[in-house]
Order: sequence, then C-alpha cells, then structure tokens
Amino acid sequence: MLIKESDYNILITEEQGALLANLITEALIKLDSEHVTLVHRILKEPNKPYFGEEKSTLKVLKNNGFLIDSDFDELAYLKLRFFVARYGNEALGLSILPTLRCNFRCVYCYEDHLNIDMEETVRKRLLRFVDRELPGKREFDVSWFGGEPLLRLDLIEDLSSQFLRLCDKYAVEYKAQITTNGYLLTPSTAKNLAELGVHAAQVTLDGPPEAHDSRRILANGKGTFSQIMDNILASADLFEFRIRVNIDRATAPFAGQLLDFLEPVKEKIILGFYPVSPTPRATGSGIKCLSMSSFADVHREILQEVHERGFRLVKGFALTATVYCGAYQLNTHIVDPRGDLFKCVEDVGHGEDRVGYLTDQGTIEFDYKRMLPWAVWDPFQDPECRKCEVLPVCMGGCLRLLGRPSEERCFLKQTIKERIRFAFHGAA
Amino acid sequence: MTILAKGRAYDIAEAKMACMPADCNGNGVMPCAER
Repeated sequence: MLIKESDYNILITEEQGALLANLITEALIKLDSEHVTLVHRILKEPNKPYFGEEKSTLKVLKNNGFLIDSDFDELAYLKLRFFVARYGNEALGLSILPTLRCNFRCVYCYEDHLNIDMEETVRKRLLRFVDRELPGKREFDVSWFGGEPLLRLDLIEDLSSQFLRLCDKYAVEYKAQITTNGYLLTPSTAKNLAELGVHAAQVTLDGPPEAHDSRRILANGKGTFSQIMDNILASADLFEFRIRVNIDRATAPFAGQLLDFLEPVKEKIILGFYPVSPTPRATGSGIKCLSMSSFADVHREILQEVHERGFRLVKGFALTATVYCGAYQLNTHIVDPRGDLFKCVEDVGHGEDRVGYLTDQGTIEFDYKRMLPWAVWDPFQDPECRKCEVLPVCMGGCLRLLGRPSEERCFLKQTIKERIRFAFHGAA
Repeated sequence: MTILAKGRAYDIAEAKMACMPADCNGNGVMPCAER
C-alpha cells in the first residue's frame, strides 16, 4: 500500500529542533535538530525504502497519522465528522435566557437590556419541549445565559429541578453550565447551582481592576472587579471557573496583570482570551478594537506568560473540532425569555431575527428562511476551507464572518502554532 | 524524537455527542462598536 503525507501536518520551528503536530489525530512529536531533516525527507518521500532508525521513524509517523494510506480521503473524513455532529440526534443543547435584564452596563455590550423575564407560559412551553425531545437522547446540555441569568436564580432553580427530573425519567445525562458576570455568584448561590448540576461557570474579568472597571460596570457606574474576584476565590472548589478576558486596544497592555490576582486559584480555573470585535448590534461605545492580526500578536505574548506561570487555557479551538459553533447544530437552540429561538447570541431579544419559536404544545415552529443558512452552510463547498491546513480546528469558522477578509475571518489560523503548543499544557 | 501526544484513532463517536451550547463562549467574538 502506498502512503502519503497528511494534509494537516503543522511543523513549528523551535529554537532547537521543531514540533510536528497533526490536526486530525492530535499527535504531537518533538524533534531534535537531527530529526527535523530526516522527518521532513520521509514526509516528502514516504514510499522510498528506509532501513534501521529511518524505518522506525517512518513507522512512528504512520502510526500517528502524519503519514496515511494514499487512498484515504482526509477531507471526506472531516466532512463525515462535521455532518454527524451537525445532524446527530444523540444530544440536545439549549442556551436558556431566563431574563434579558442585566445589572451591568458593560461598555461594549451588544444587548439592549430589555426589561423582559421568562413568563410562566414560556416556562411551560420550554418544559413541554424538553419532555418531548429527551426520549432517546443520551445527553442534555444546558447553558444559562442572559441578560444576567442570576437575576432570576429562582427560575434557574425551578427549571434545573425539572430538567434533572426529566433526565432521570428518560435516563439522559445532564450537563449544565452558566455564563454570568459573577457579581451575584455568592458562595451560597454557587452552592445551590452546583447542587443543581451546574458544573462550570464562565465569568469575565477584563484584566486587572483598573482595566476591568473601565469596561464592566454596574448600572450605577460603579466598578465590579472586587466583588467578582471575592466570589471566584470563595467558590473555586465548587465548579470549574472559566475566566473570559476580553481585550481591546486600550486594555491589551494590562491583560496579563490579571494573572497576579488569579494566582491563588490558578489550578482550579481555566483562562480564555478573546478580542472585542465590532458588530452592528453595539454602537457608540468608543471602544477601539484590535485588528485580528494585532490581537494575534497580543495573544501570543499573553499565552507565553500563561504557559510560564502554569495557568490552564480553555481547550476550545485548541485542536480538533467537530463544528465551529453550536449554532450549526440542528439540536442546539438559544431560547430567549419570550420563547423565541435564535442561533446566534447577538440576535437575542430581536424577535425579527428569530429562527423559530416554541409553541404551546412544546414543538418548534421554524422560520426556515432564517434558519436554513445556519442549518445547511457547508465549509466543504468553500474553496478556501477545502485547501486550508487548519480546517480540522476551525471547521469553517463563524457564519457571521463569511465574506470578511481572511485575516479577520481566519483568526484561528493565525494563532494555530501557539494553540498547539499550549493545548498540551506545557508538554511542549 | 519524543512523542508528546500519541495520535488518536479516527473515530466519529465523539462527534455524535458534540452538542455545544450556542452561546459563543469559545469563539472569541465579543462585539463592540468600532474597529
């Protein structure tokens, strides 16, 4: 059988030697300087006769997916994985917004802070929907979102209890997480949530106190860093905190200083750094965003510090993905307090952009015109994606970024080498 | 030459269960007004 080089090998040159990764199998090999040349030669000419150590090296490359059978179609395999994840029927995923209200007025926020909470009729529709959908599923994933979801802790508690009961009834695994600004996440609330199956909380800290308090403020204008940090330190044992750090041009130089504050809990938290990005939904904030390439430079520096100090990073988009975003999945929905369904969080509260709604019978009435692009867009039809070596990680990226220049749309590609290094928690 | 991570077998079992919450938690897009 003839063999060929995988299209998804990434070679990262280091000060001494190199790292070789395969983005489908997630194999990672460290090469000393002598092996760099040898491995390069074998990858380019894998069907030549090799003996001794060279033969052993070829075997390692083959066993780890760097070399593959010449008739194996990697693109077709990725396509299968993508469509299984997209149309698979084994899991149900809901992002639920109990309220659109928020106690914060973050300067970059794209939401409108409408005074809308989930009414009893919608609560009943949602429960009927879950009751109809769960039979036959293996997993039910819930993400509490908002608005600030903890403003309606009572609803979260009520719905969580019902979800746990239904999962028990239908023998479905239940997993829940919450995205909260963290201000109301007191130790007693955290304990309640943990007991109701919430295993992770995403909380945002936009850098050290001065930076954070210039971006994430209460409705009365006061800063929030101190209260959030107290809450994280007090409840770090209860569930996994995913600390999101949004970075813009002004806060970029200070973002790394946040690590000093998180040092006491660094083994219990996971960090993720993201660029503040422009959207038509948010205007007039005065925030200057970094270009994707500038963010990539900032990100590289921060990741180095994160690595050196022994913090952990969000694994998401580090290596192989099945779909880029849950929005592409048929069984994943965002449910707003009115029972409207959306694909992208940027649209919540904007009824005119809903892709469907929950009926009194607990079924979905889709607006197919709005839903179809999310349900059928196919990166495997995109000429750029088809030839991209980072496709197994990106899987086509965000639908909202289609049509933008590749330096904006393909930001995962720009940081792939750092992502590979840190995906292995410092193993490299 | 050191193997830091062994290659995983080709398998779509994980994809069957990959139901990600659609709240943009991981993709790095947090919007603002202007570039």
